[in-house]
Amino acid sequence: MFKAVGNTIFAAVVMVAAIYLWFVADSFPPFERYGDVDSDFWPKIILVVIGLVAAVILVSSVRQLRLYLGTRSGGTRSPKSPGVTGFLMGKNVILVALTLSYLYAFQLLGFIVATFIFLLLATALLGVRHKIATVLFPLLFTSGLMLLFTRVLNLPLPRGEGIFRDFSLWFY
Amino acid sequence: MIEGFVSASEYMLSNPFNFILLILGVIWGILFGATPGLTGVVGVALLIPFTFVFEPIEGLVMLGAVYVGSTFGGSISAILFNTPGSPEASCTSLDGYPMAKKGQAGMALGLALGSSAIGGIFGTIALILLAPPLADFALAFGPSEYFALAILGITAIASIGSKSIWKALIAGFLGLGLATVGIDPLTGFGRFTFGNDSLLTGISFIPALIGLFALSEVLARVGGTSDGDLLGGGVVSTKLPRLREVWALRITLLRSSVIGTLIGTLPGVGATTAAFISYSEAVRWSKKPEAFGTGTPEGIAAPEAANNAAVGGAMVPLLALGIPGSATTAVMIGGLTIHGIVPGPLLLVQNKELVYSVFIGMLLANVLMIVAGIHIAKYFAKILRLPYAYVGPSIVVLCTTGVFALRSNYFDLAVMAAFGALGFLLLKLDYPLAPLIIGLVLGPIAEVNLRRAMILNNFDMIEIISRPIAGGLLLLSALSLIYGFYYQYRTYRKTC
Repeated sequence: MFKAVGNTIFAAVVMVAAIYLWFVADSFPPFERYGDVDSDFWPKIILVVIGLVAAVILVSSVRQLRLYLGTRSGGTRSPKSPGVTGFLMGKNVILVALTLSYLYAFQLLGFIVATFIFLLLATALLGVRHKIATVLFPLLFTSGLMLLFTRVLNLPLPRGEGIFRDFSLWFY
Repeated sequence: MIEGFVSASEYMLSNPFNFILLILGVIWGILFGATPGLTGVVGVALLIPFTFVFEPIEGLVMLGAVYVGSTFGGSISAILFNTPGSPEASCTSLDGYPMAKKGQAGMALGLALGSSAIGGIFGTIALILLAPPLADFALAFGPSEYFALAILGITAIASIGSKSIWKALIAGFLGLGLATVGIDPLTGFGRFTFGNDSLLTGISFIPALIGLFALSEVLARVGGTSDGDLLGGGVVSTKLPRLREVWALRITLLRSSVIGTLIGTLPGVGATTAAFISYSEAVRWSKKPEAFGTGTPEGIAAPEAANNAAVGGAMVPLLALGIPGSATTAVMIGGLTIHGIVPGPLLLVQNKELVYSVFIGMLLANVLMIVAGIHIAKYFAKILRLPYAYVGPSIVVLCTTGVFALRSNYFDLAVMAAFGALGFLLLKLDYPLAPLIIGLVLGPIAEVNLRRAMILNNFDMIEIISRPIAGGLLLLSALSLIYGFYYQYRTYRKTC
């Protein structure tokens, strides 16, 4: 069920996006010199194919969905599927939020603080309950990576802003 | 040629320090290749200043060894964590990671190592024997031929989408579409940037690749696995493949090595394209194309032999023509110039000892890679025994740090996150990722060269098709596309 709904929504979004982007490509300024092979030449070909293929997938997904709903109304139980709620409420959502926060914090808090907090929370989220390991692993991994990038390879790592920058400056 | 080869051999034997540099270069290369985001380009670039203290031959031998090692190194993280350490290895993860997931990490790594060494040795021998004719071959490729070559790779999308050809097509065309973002290389107009200056240079390939493969996989694995699996650590076999199993892949290895060498010689194309076209050809010629993407040995052997063979091939335009064939060789030009060496046709005549020493060094580096690779890969494989609750977050951190370190650009992190989300969605909806990557890699080559060819041929498509190499490649593409559709239709009829 989730896949049929997902496929229908995805195909519909892709089809609408392809139509919209075709008009965006059509508005590209013309360059006389390039004649038929101007900036919009290749994108338009691709967008037409994407639109058509998305339409095919959309029709087939809607058919599948109708078939599924028909089977359900006929009283037959469908095979067990993860379901949208189960999927949305899973660890994925928390991990996605955590990862996005980490990417944002990477710039704001700097590498050391952001990475330590991310590893601490992510390992705890994924089920590590050993208290010493929960703290020791982020500490060692963050220090090791920091030394590798800043001392051995001399590659830049973000320092963060404000007090976090001052803190990072102690190390690199 | 023989005179240069003998003189270079004598020099190498009388300077054992070269062997130490070779070993260090291979290990350095493997480690850089295996670390997501770092790649061989960074490995070579960081070493260039250090080579200044060495003799020119010693410095170049070391850089060549780094190049060889890094091309294989990328496959280690690609196979074990679905995180290609370098773009060249992205194709290897398509079958390498599924094989590792089956508990055959050692087999996958061994196949990658063996195939890399065979491809690398083939490419280097071809370089030693055929450098001048290979340079002529590269010069025979014009825009029409480049376009036809890219189309040959793209049409394999029809064969790769074994479950649904429509889903494979849309994934492939999404890749082609995403590759059009940024400044149009011909007109200079910024396409689909929507006012965002960071998009003017296009979608950065490495962050996109890491997001698609690594981030999406971490999310998918966390979402689809129970706590027990996350904490228990998997059963991982580090058993290497037997010689018999490698021998069974001889046709794939030979075909891929030839493809890799030839594509490597083409300036601006490189090992990544070689790996994908070789993978496409392996799918095309396979009796079981539906097995690709599920952990088939051919799916590892083909890209690995090709990308390492392309290393030898890429040295042809660099040394014989002075044109870099790939990003790494472009950086290596820096290594040549700081020693006052000007690459070009005269280099093969005036500096035979240097050129052939580099060739011999690369040959030895491929042999050393087997020894170093086995040990390094085995240690890496042991990481798989760790609980995923540690490995998963570490992959996220490593990818983020590697992607940032590449250009110190926060926008690259956003690209990685966006592609991670896209990859996760596509995985959940059963869309194959391989066509998307093929589209991203080959799209710009196909577009730019088609348009250039059209302009050069007065917008006459017949002129392009009638060129022997371009016409032949396009005919092969058309036939394979028709066969791909026919195969899908036949499979559909059988299942109905």
